[in-house]
Amino acid sequence: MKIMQAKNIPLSIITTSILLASQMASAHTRLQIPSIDEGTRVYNNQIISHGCRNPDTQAVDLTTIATILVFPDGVDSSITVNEEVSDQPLSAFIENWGSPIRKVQNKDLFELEEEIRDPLGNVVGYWAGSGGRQGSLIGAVPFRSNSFVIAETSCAKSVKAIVAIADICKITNIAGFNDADIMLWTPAVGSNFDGTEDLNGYNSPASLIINRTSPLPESCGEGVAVVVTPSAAQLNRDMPVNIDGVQIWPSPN
Amino acid sequence: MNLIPNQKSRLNAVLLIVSAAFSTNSFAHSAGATTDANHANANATVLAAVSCFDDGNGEPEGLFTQIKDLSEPEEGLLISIQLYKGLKAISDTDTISGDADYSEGVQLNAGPGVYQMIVNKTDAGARKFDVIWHCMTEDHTHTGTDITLRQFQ
Repeated sequence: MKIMQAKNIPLSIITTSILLASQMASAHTRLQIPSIDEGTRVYNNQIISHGCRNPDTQAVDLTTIATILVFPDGVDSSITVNEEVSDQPLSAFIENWGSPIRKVQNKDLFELEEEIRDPLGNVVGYWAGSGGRQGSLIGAVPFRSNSFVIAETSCAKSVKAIVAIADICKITNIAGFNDADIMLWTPAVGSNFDGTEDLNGYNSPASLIINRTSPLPESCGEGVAVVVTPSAAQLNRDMPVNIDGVQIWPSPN
Repeated sequence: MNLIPNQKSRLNAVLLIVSAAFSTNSFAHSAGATTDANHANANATVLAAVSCFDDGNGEPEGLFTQIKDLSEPEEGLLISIQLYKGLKAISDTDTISGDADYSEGVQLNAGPGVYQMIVNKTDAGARKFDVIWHCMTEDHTHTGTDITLRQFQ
């Protein structure tokens, strides 16, 4: 049997292919399981596919040293129904929104991690940092989404939660945000963490869709798609990382 | 580069610390705090939403709860808990403040879904309390239980 050997393929072609493949494999930071059924508690992962952009090579392989993930708290979040702005509260569609996730402890990637809580103590996100994801490898940060209940009397066939994520490669102040230091996967809602349109991933947040499993009321027809997005005020409150009472990120100056 | 440039101190506190401190994560499905800490609000009420679901251990039949008043006895001041879902409700009271015992315990059988859990008291005055809650199947097996705090006074 004749075995095909790679030695006759020029090394430059192999190197280029690997680099191209790695670039093509690069993707936004997203949830491993982006769609779940209501009534189920799901163990999930935040997938960090690449780091920050190396200004010398343009490769997105700078080490991620920390990450922050925040779900909408549902208190002052914006709601759309079939893409139209709605003034209905989230409780009209989800009966038990408020503490959407819990952090699963894991120190494979980052040495420190903690849950982010709203003023009532409900968990709305987490941060993890110190150590870091090696630039050439994929990172997985585990968490658990709690069991959501779509209001039976509502016409919601799904509720999509917009999730704000920041992957940090270097600690800077807000004015210093640039592709070499941070990858922002946040909704552009007017918060300090929108980033600017020239940054990678601008207004490209992650999301988690909760799918209805109970029957829709007959009057609902095909049902409606609801989207809930965190407010600027919430992101300004929940995104900063504080350790022992000191704000670590963004740096104050 | 580390997130903490000059130290390796371990984190000892959560990011957002609230004076209400109804920590629902100290133990599985039990929590405690002090209601009406300022001793001024006879109407102080705690409200939480408890979700009962099948986590693989079976479909929930209902939600069980108990409450314990950890404060010293005061005449006319007792703490109670109510559960409410759909067209059903139930309540329980710790009739002896400050002892080691929880209230007798009650279970509201309203199937899977979201139960409202309310804690209140009979007069103004701080009450330090502890609550236990579990979603239970028909054969008394613990099943999926999640909680969200809505209001703390």
